[in-house]
Amino acid sequence: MKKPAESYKAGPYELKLKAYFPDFGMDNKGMPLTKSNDPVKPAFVFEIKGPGLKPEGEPYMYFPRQVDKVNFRQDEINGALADKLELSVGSMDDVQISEYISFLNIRVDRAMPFIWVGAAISMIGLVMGFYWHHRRVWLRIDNGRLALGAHTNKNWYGIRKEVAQVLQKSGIDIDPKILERKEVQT
Amino acid sequence: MSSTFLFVAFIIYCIAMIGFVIGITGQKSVRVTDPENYGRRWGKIGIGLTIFGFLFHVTFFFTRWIEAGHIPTSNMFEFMTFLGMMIVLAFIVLYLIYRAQALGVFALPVAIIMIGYASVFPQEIQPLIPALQSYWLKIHVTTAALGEAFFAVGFAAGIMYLLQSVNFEGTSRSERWEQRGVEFTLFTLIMIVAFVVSVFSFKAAGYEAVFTHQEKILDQNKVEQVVTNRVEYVLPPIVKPYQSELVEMKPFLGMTQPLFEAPSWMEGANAGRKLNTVIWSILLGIVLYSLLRRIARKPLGRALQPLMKGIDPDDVDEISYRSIAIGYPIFTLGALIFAMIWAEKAWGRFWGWDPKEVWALIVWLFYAAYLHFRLSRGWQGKKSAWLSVIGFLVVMFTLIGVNLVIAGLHSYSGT
Repeated sequence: MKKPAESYKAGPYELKLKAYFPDFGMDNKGMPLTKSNDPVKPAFVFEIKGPGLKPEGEPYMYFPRQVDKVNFRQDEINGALADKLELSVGSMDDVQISEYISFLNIRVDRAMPFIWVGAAISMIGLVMGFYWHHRRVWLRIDNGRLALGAHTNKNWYGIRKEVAQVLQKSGIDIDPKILERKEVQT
Repeated sequence: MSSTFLFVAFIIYCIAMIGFVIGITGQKSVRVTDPENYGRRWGKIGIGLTIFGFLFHVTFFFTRWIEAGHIPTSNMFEFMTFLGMMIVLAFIVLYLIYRAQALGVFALPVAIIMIGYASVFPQEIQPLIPALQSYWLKIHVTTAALGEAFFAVGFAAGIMYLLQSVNFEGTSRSERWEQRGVEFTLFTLIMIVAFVVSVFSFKAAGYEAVFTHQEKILDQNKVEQVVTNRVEYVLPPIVKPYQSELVEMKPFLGMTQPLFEAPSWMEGANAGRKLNTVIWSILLGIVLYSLLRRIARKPLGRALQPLMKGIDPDDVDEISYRSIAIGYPIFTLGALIFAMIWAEKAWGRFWGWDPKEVWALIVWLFYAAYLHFRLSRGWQGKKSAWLSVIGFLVVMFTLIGVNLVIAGLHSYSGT
């Protein structure tokens, strides 16, 4: 049923396999097709040559299962030929028609270690980028003039506020907003 | 027993929010002599109450855990309440960093709406389905929710920024669009509130309507069989399920028959009831919105704008950014990396383009774009606030829309 032979001999007749549909069905235009590769509703199209038939052969459609023979009206498809010939097999006992298919899918994805290492690296990067912060505060005296600077990569709001608080404690009242200059932002 | 704790937590959150509102609005009152001190005092009361409520919420979480025997994050009700709890946690963290009282006025309502919305879903404790029986349920769901909660607070701060900086008097094209965008966002929130209130009112009134509809299914032997399904409505049926029979319907405002039938192309379980819910939410949202607008006598955005007076927009902008920056690595870890590890263990593949996976990736890419635009293209202020608002809408779709609308491997958590 998986791989039928190309031709058969039955007495004086010669059968040549023209088409095989393991799971016979029709598409919406009425053309025959197979729905799967599993022998669920097998159908064979033979070209039969032999006595009493046309020399170039005549097509014959054969459904092994009795249900399909009736359902798909094998005799009507084959027309006149059906009256002359009847294809039958001695026994269907060793033929397996598939009804249910279960399979075990085993997969090994060798890329997984790379995926996990990649995920770990990106996590480290994200944590470093978003949670590690550094801040610096400078004090410099040039010719008796005190310059104060502060730099941070996170929470500019916080450093502004804290610098303003420090200044307030040393007696300088200042609005934290004034401390920031837009162009310093990185 | 545990749900009492949730209810208490819900009430305390509402009171805490009112505390923050008093702190903000009272500062402008002429009778307040020291506005800064006044605001600080009410801020302390607000955050104190919030933490108090949060403790009740945590108690709810653990008592339910004990009652159920598994971590209560396995269905929509449990997950949404957990998300509400995480939003409150994220708010507390950001409040402790920035001490911005106004954030409470907007972040707490998001958590409150989330808990309210959660309670619409069935609250019974359900046994854990086999697919979820793994310790990864604890790790993946909690970290993903925490990341999303920070996005929610970023959204709240984004709305604050927009309320403050959109020119509600403006008449130019872009200003008009911004006004509409703010109104639409507020309308969405109001719609959820209207939906929750309506479900509870109809449930309290004992309203119900029952339909049956026949569905063809293939049975074990692949023979077509007709099964009769029962669909129960809590809200009065405007739309009945496709090809269904009315069994019982209590009259509502003289309406004894459903007005329409759901179209046949809407597939999925209970499509008719879901469509009915959506229609009701929109209708009631419009009613509640127009009522509020009548009372305010102006667009709601403009009505809320005075709340933001005296708050520095740059600070709000930074809160929004910081919240998202804190949430982003957590979200990456929880919703992508832990999810991938669990998927690899449970389904044998780390990524399978399941709808939920796809949407988690969309959220992740969206916030990646947000951070890139902000940090390297200098998209600060309005642009970044709009992105934080839209981003959270995408998050909500991922959490709710994907479960309810699209069927997939994650649809167990829908109802």
